[in-house]
Amino acid sequence: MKSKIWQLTSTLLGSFLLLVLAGGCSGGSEKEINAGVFKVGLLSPGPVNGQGWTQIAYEALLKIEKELGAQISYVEVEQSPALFERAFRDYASQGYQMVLGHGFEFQDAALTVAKDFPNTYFFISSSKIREGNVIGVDSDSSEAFYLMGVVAALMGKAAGLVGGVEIPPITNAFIGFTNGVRSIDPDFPISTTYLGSWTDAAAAKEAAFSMIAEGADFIIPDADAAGSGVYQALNETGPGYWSFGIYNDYTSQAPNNMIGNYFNDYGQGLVNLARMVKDGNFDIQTNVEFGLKDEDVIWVKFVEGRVPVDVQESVETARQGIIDSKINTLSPIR
Amino acid sequence: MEPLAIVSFLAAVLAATWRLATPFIFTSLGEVFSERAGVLNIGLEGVMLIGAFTAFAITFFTGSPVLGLAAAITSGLACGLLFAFLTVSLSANQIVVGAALNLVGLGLTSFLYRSIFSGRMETAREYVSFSPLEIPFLSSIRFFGDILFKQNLMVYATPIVVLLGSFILYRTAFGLSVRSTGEHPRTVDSAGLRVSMIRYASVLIGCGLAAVGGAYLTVAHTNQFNEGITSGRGFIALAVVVIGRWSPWGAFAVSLLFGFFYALQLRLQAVSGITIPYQFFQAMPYLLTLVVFVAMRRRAAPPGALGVPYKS
Repeated sequence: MKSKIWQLTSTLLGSFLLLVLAGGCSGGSEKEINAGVFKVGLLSPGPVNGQGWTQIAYEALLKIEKELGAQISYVEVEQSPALFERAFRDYASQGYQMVLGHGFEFQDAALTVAKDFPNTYFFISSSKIREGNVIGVDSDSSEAFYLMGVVAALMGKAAGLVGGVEIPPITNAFIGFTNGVRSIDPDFPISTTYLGSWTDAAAAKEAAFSMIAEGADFIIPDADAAGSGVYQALNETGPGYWSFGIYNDYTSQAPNNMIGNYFNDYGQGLVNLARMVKDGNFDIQTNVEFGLKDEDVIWVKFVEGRVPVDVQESVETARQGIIDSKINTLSPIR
Repeated sequence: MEPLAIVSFLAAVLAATWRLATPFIFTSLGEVFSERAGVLNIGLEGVMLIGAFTAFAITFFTGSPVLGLAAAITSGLACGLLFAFLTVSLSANQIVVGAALNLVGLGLTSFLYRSIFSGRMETAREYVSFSPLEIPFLSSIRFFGDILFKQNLMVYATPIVVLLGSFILYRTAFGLSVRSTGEHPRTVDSAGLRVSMIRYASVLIGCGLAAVGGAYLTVAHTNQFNEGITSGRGFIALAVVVIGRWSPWGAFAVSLLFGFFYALQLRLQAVSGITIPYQFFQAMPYLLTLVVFVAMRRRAAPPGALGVPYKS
């Protein structure tokens, strides 16, 4: 009996110690109320210094404070919907002109609260909603991928796309790429592989090797951290195989294979929105979708000396067409 | 497909097979020892992650993947010591401690990766990994050259390590005591051997090899670390041990089988023109490995005392 209790105790103690080791901690911050100043609040779905998604919004918030002289505040609400509504209401009732819910999950809570606070803009990341002062904010990767497709079709033999998981942000990007390719060459081969993972760089690398063996010479990942595996495969295979950096500059990972980089500075887009709200000239009637028209938010930059002038001209034509809404990068593919 | 195309298709798939199987081979071989001694360690995923991170960090700072690998083994042994202390010395529930180890592995490596490497990857990248080593003459043999003789050192090491493991388990006194401990620890105890020491040793072997399996991902197969890079391989290795019937060569064969189906599904997805949902391809390695297992079914029972703490 005694040994059984000891066994139970040690099991609990042991796992508790391990869990304590594994766990982290987080905290929020609130600043004093001060009427008359421009105030921006953020509902972060996780620790603001958590890298990646949550950090993007936090850094945008700091930029809003620095560049626009705004008074800022954030709360880390984690995944507890009960707190969403209260956090929105807290900010709005303190006269915050702009509150950002950084994630689609905040949409419903914002809709409930927004009716009572017509003077506050509620922005919701990853949402396409527009109901009064609740405004979805998203970025459209299909436009940048369209330009990559134009480059691939003009310079390559076949293209491969390595996706993380088959979800709309990824499939839309790939539709954009395919439309770009088709605008140049309707018979240009494109193959697509999904990894079912955002972390499995080894699988991404092998997927790229498979595509190279199938004859592809343009291989583009859209698989978060796993995507680096694609660059490594190209780096090992050698020159003559091309890729684009996705969301950031990845040239250093495959210096001989990177033809350009697609940058997506969502945080800058948020700063732009805050500026409009502050200056009182926010006049967008729909939801907000960042695209190539927002030149400081989404842009493609070629690595010097890799893209011939005539290809660059075709890309520029396509870019203008997209900005002027003459090209629909998301038109359905047969 | 023309015959020549089929040959090159197969060669590429089989070469990828061995590369993809390697982390499973190391990890499941280690778990064979652990389970043969009666200790079920479901914390392999966590240990692999810790090994993967340690190897990456040490290689990053020293420029030597050999040192990175050595450090990974050390980190695996440390995990093993902790696991054995809780489950063998304190008789804690192996499943609970294993589950906690997985959480620690993910949490600790993510935390350390962010605090050490955040914002640092873009700038200096003088990272050396075990790159493919082409063996002279042999690598130019058609078909077999690509599959067998253009791999990296850790891939080449797998059959040697499995041979060694099999020898130790079946041909040495230590191996006999490991197997007996898993079947009937009381007998081992009455023969004057210390059950706890044998279990400690087996758990250390298990965690050490799991760390090697994780390290392979960051210093051989790819040259990067990212959070959760093991992507569930530790859990697949657990299944590999069962399907491989708790034997080193069985684990080796099942790892290769899984690697083959995984390579095949990646390749089939890349063949343009096939319009089967990709989820089907992704389920394929799991389904087909199970099918083969069922088709080849022979009598094989798990070690008698698996998961049962021993109290003298």
